[in-house]
Amino acid sequence: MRKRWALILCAPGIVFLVLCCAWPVLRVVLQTLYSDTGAVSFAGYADLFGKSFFRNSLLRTLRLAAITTLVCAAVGIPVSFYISRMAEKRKSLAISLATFPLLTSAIVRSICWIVLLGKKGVINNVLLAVGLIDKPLSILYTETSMLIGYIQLFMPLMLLSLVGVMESIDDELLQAAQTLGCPRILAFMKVVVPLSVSGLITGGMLVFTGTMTAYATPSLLGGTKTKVLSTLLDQYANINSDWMSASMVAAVMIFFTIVVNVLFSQIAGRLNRRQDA
Amino acid sequence: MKKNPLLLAITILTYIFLVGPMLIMVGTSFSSTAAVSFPPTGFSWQWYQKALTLPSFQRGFVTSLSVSLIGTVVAMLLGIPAAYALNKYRFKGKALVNGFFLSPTLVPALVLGFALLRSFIPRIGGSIYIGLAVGYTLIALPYIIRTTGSAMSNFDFSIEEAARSLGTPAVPAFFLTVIPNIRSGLISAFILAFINSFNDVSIGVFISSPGTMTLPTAMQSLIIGRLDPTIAAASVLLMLMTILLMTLSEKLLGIKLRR
Repeated sequence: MRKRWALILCAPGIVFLVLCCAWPVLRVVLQTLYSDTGAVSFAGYADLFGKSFFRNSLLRTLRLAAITTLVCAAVGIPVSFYISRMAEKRKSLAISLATFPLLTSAIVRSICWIVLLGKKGVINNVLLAVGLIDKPLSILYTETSMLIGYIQLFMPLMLLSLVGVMESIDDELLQAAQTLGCPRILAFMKVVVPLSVSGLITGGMLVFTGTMTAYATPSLLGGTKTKVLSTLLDQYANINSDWMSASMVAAVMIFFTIVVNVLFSQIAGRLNRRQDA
Repeated sequence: MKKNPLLLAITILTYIFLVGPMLIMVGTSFSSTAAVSFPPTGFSWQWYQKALTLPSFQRGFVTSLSVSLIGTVVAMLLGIPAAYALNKYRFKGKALVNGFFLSPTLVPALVLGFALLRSFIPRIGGSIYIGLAVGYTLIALPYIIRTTGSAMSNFDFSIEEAARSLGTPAVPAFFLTVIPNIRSGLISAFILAFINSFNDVSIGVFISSPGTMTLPTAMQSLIIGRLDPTIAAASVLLMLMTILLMTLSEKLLGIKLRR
């Protein structure tokens, strides 16, 4: 009886997911594994990975995701700690200010950086006017501008993941460490950081997979020489109409999203077990 | 530790980095010249006028608004019963079903759009509009399952059992006991899912046609090559919409939007 009810209630969603998500996605992935003759073959992938252009894009995607995650963590730890120790009203304001960018379209946030970093943008205008430079710097359409965009885009996710965890760390633990003669920074590293690992992992996973699959930021702030997987997929499909290559890039993106998810949850699982023991 | 000036400085700098660029864009949107400049030269509303009257923006706004609403509503209709079953009943394969409902999060939105374009839209007669609505349903569904699921996990199902044992039929009992108790969770899930869909850029990259495109896609196609304050003005209007939704839900409904 119960089982029947559960099935009836879940069925519409399951049917929808099969028809509109699982089947279309699987079809795109499976098509990449068949050669023209209909035999299963990895020749397409061998070709794709043989192109240095693709390999560079893949490595750039992973590198930028890793740097963004590290920067967000390194800045996020002290900032979240500071926010978690604020008085209730200010803390609420700080959290709202971090939430607001998250609720603003990635396209709007990328446009901000075009306004700031462009050849005729705000930063170049100011630097030229002050006389620090004679000709405008080319910051836009480089990996640097992409990184700046990614970090601004995903920092709030790290902050919000960390603040929640850090709020529950007892101040007395820190005081105890300091009373016993541990220097402040060391006490912070030895007490606060280990106790915030679960927030770091949640935040890290969101930032890493977010950066890896973001589209607006790399397409607006990156250039033709700084392609990442998402902009490459766009180029293969929308510009070259090379559907086979596009499908393979799509499959590679899914593959790495799953790998990163599994890796991060493995780490989380291991840490949980250690804390329980 | 509390009053560490270094921590304060890093925090202030981080917030300047997060919010500052948006404030500068607000400044440039009032420029009286076509060049994007800051501090703005002169003052005018002309870019707002242009952004509000641009046909591609108007159509994009209507498209984004309607497909996001449809996607969110459908995701709730599919997701709430499933979340209810997953929280109330114990059955074989429950973990598997739960995992399957969260599986769209493993597919990047861009790839989801691509797969829908290749393998779904041709089957339904090529409707870009339905493709978008389906895409946003898929993005919202795992989110709805997770948020309403966590709201229901705090609900004491014996309240519902009490109503049932007093003779209330199953469906009215659900609407009279479960729904009112998870109301604020439902509303904030609805608003957040809607905002996420409305803001999304990725689905529209592949699912778009000259007549039917989302607002972010329409904005992006205008930026390529040049940047005038119209885009800044449109962006400011979108930010205002977010602020409005955040304050309304906090002041009127007492719900803080948190992710």
